[in-house]
This record gives sequence, structure tokens and C-alpha cells, in this order.
Amino acid sequence: MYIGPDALMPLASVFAAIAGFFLMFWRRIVGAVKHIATKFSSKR
Amino acid sequence: MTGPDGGARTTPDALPPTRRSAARQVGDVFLAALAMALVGGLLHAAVSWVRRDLLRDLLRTWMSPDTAWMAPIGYVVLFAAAAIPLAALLAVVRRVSAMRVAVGFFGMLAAFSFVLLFPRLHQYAALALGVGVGVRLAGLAGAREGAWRAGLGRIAVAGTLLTVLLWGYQTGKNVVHERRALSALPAAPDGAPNVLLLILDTVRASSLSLYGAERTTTPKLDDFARSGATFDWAFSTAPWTLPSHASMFTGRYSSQQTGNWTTPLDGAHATLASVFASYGYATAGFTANLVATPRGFGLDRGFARYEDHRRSLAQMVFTTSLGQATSVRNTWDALVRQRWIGRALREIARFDFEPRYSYPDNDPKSAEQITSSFLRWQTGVAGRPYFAFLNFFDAHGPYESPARYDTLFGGGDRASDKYDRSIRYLDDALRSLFDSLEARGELDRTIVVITSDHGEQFGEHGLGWHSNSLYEQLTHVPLFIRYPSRVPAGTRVAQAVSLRDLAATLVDLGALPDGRGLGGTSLAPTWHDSTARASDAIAELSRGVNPDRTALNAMGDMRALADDSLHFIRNGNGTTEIYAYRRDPRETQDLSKGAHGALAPAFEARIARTLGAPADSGRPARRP
Repeated sequence: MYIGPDALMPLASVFAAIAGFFLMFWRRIVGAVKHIATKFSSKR
Repeated sequence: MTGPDGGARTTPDALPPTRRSAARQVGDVFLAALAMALVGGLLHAAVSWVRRDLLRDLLRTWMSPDTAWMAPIGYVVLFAAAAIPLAALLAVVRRVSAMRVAVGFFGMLAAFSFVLLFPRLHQYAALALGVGVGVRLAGLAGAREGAWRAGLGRIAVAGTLLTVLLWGYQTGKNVVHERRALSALPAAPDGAPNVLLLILDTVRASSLSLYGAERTTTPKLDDFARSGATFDWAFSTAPWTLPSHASMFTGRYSSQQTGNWTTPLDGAHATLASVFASYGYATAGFTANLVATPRGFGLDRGFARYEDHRRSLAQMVFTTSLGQATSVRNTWDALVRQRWIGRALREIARFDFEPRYSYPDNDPKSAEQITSSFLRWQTGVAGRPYFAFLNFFDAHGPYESPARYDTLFGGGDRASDKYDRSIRYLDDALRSLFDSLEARGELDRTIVVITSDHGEQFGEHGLGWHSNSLYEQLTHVPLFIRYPSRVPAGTRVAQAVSLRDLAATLVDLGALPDGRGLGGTSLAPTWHDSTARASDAIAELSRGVNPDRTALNAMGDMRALADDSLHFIRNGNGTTEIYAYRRDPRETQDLSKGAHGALAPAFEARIARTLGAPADSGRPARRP
């Protein structure tokens, strides 16, 4: 695969990939955040 | 049933696997494909509209206003093709919800296609985002199948209606524009001749047997040329389509009008079409070049009718971002032409989905289709003189001609062999056109101009293609004018002339009282008097927007001037070259290193003086 300036992802591509990742694992991510939040609030 | 992330959950209105019928499964796949294709296509159309009309983003993507209705249909064709194997699979595997899988898959495809429209986003990022959207949609659809079925149905109906409305609006707009333009025409002068401007895109003079090429590429034109004037040394004003056409249409040098890499020809100057229309001429343009001359690039200004792309399914698919992707094109070729599934899968695995927007990724009209369109139109305007412009794209890369020409010139497979065959095809198509006009009794009362916008390189000077130098291969173009009552038959004009003067020449031959702002000087004196001179044969090339490093305009703007014997070129990096083009037509010996080098400042000064002079001569074209 050609690796050069044209193949380097600009910042927008990074954001797009992160957004895609979040959408793919939305339930797990939301579940994990809820779990952490619950743990944190119960400790207090 | 599992959630999109693998977790088990219940779905209120999803049918149990045993109750899903094959018909329901197949229906769900096609419904999801149709709805997602229409949503994706209409979003594509919206982005194109913003780019074209709000941002004026020229030459970045397909810009036709017809994108509004062609893109949705193109996506429907692509998604329907993908839906066939998916529906077949899910008709058998009924324990899987077709609604969920199809919404996820086509949602992913629509989102992926949409993100590909933005060239700064990497295709793998587009894929990640597309998959993310698909997974979320699959989860939502799987949870409420019934509601999604109803919703997708509404989207499909609304999207179809909107697409039909957009088609009707755009088509109706063109019809109304033409009717209004024709009804507003003043009476034409009695006996006014027709004007037929034929531009053979990318045809260089040296590849025509009319200009001494070894291969008999233009036997019919060789014969036809005996009835008019052939210009041995005509030079285009630019080595690529848009500025060269704009010069011919306005009588301006390339830098004196706006048509360039990122800007269309604006409305500042009169065009041939607008001037002829102002004298009562019916006007029409028929172009096969969909890269630099379609509607919206400014060249359509003044024409009552302007036909560019075909309304074929292939063109609609090419309008989509997926249709412009190498992997999609190669996969299609592997499946349809070679019937090789293994190769098709390998093409997909190569994952090259960057939209190319390059020349082969369109479905341009062939020469025969262009001439047929023109002849049909011409029948409808009988009774009025007309100005018609025809652009033929067959000799432009990839140099395609019908299969019956495959064995011509030894049947070689080099680019130059294909190029010569495509020129021969053009020669045949033009002959048929002239035969038709003759049969209608129109030929002798029509001013016929045959020329080209620029040439092509096949390795000369280490360069290929065009738009990257100002050598003879790119700027020396054919020019032939036929009009029996004014142009003496069998004339060869030896002086160097510029296509910039074409507009003033047509005004002169058409006996129009005034050029109404068109620039240039009539070439008519040159076929009577070998000492007569018209405008300087200057060609220009702006620094490219994204040039190949080998392009001579990679470092800056270029200029060239052909005088009676020498061709001076200033490259983008400031170096100069001089060729004695009449005795060294391939420009192999650069004289600038010898005594001729001292002439460079004088050439530079003459170019600057000419380009600085007012473009409009302000006087009627000279008559012989």
C-alpha cells in the first residue's frame, strides 16, 4: 500500500473514524459509561 | 435475536423466524435498498447543489444540474444490483431478519457513499463512519421491524416523487428556456448563412493526413478540404478544453477571460452564441465533453439549447460517488465482461473507493450520437439560420471508437494507435454529417468550421496527455473553413493564426454588421493575401491546481508565441525554449541555447504588449 502525503488522513478523517467507532459500539459504550457513573455515585 | 453489539434483547414487533415468509424477506431487502438509495442520492444532489450554486466549486465533481434527479436513480440502480444476491440469501436464511440486515447494509452503503463525496476524508474513515451508521440503523430497525417497514415505505414513495419532480423541473426548465429564447429572437437578415462550429476535442493537427500524417486518418476530410480553406499553422490559445473553448467563443486570449481550472467562463464578455442569437439565429450546443464543457461551465451561455450528458442508466450510475470508484468499476467489469467472481471479489478487497471523476468515468455521446442530436434539432428550426456548436470527444482519452475500427492501422494497442483510429472514426462521422446536410440542401449555405481545442502528447518531450505544456503537439490544431460563396476552394493558408480570431472570422463571414463585443480580427484576409496577419498566435497555461510534478506548469504560469518561423515558450519555472517549428515540426531542437536565445526578451515583450492591449478591437471585422 502506498504511504505518502496523500494517504495520511487529515484531522477530519480521524474524527469521522472515531464517530464511526462510537456508533458501532454505542450500546457497549453507553453501558460502560452508565456502569462507571453508577459505581462512582454509589461510592460517594 | 441479538442486539447490534451482540447483546440479547427482545423486539416488540419482530416476527419470529418461523413466521417470516420468503416474500416478506425479499420485499424487505428491496424496500430498504430503494429507500436508502433515494435518501443517499438526494443527499448527494443536495451536496452537489451547494457546491455548484453556493460555493461555485468547479471541476471538483460532476456539476450538472441534472445530478438532482440522476444521482438518486444511479444509487437505486447500484443498490438494486447489490440487493439481488442479498435477497436471494435472506429468502433462504429466514431465521435472520431481512429488515435488520438490509437496513444495516444499505444504510452503511448510503452513508459510505455520502462521506466519499468529501475528498479530504480518507476512504477508510468513510468506511468506519458508514459501518457505524449501518450498525446503529440495523439495531433500530431490528427492534421495530413493523414501524421501520412503514417508515421505509413512506420514504420510498416520497423519495420517488421528489426525484420525479426534480426531473420534471429540470427538464421543463430547459424546454421553457429554449422556447422563450427562440420566441424572443428578432427577425434574421435575409439570406443569412448557417454557422456550424465542429470542435474535434484533443485532435492535434499532426495526426491528420490532411496535415501530412503518415496514416490515412482523415481520407474524407482530405477530400472535403478541397472545397474550402485549410490553415496549415493554426494555434489554440490554451492546451486544454475550457479556456480554449472560451477563447473561441469570446474572441479573447485565455488570460483575458475567466474560464480556467476552478472558475467558469463568466458573463463579462459576449459569446458567439449570444451575438448570433441577437441577430435572429437559432442557437444550440451539443457537447460530448462532460469534464470541461457541460452546462454550468459558462460555455452554454447564449445558447437556446445546450445538450451535454446522456440520460443513460450508465451515466446515472457514474453520477454517484460509488460509480466513480475504481473498485466498483473493476468489479462490474469482472462480473459482467469477464464473468469471473474470484476476480470481482479481489477487486472489492483492493478497496479503492476514492471517487475518480476522471475521463473514462462518464458515458459520453459518440460522434454519431452528437451528429444525430444536431440533425434532429436542425430539422425543428428549419426556416431560421442557426449557429450550432458540436464537440466530439471520441479522440480524447481513452480514445474509444466502435469495434469495427479495431483492426485499422494494424490493430495496434498503443495509445497512439487507438488515437488514430478514433480520428478515423470522427472522419467517417463528419462525412455522414456533411452528406446529410447536402441532402437537405443546407451544406453550401452553411459556414462550416472544423477545428480542435488542443492536441495530445504521446511521449514527445517526455510528456503524455495534455494541459501540461505548450509544445506544438498540444497547441498546433487543425483549422478548416468552408463557405463556398466567400471562402475560395482549395486554399492553404501558411501564416500562423490563432483560434482567438475564429469569433471575428464568423462574424465577418456571416456578414453581421457588428461583432457586439466579440474580440479578435477576421482571418478572411489571410486566404487572399499571404502577407496578411491577424492576432498573434499566443497560447497560455496557468499553473495547475494539482499538477503532476513533471508538468511544465507545475511551478508557474506558461506563455507561448508562434511568429512566422519560431515558436517561443516560457515554462512555469521561468526557462525558455525556442523552436523553428516549420522545419522542425515535432520541436526536437531547442534553439534557445544558441543565438536564438537572445530573442527571448523580445518575444516576452510582444506577448505582454498583446495581452495588455484591449481584447475588443472596437471596429467591425476587416473585410478583404
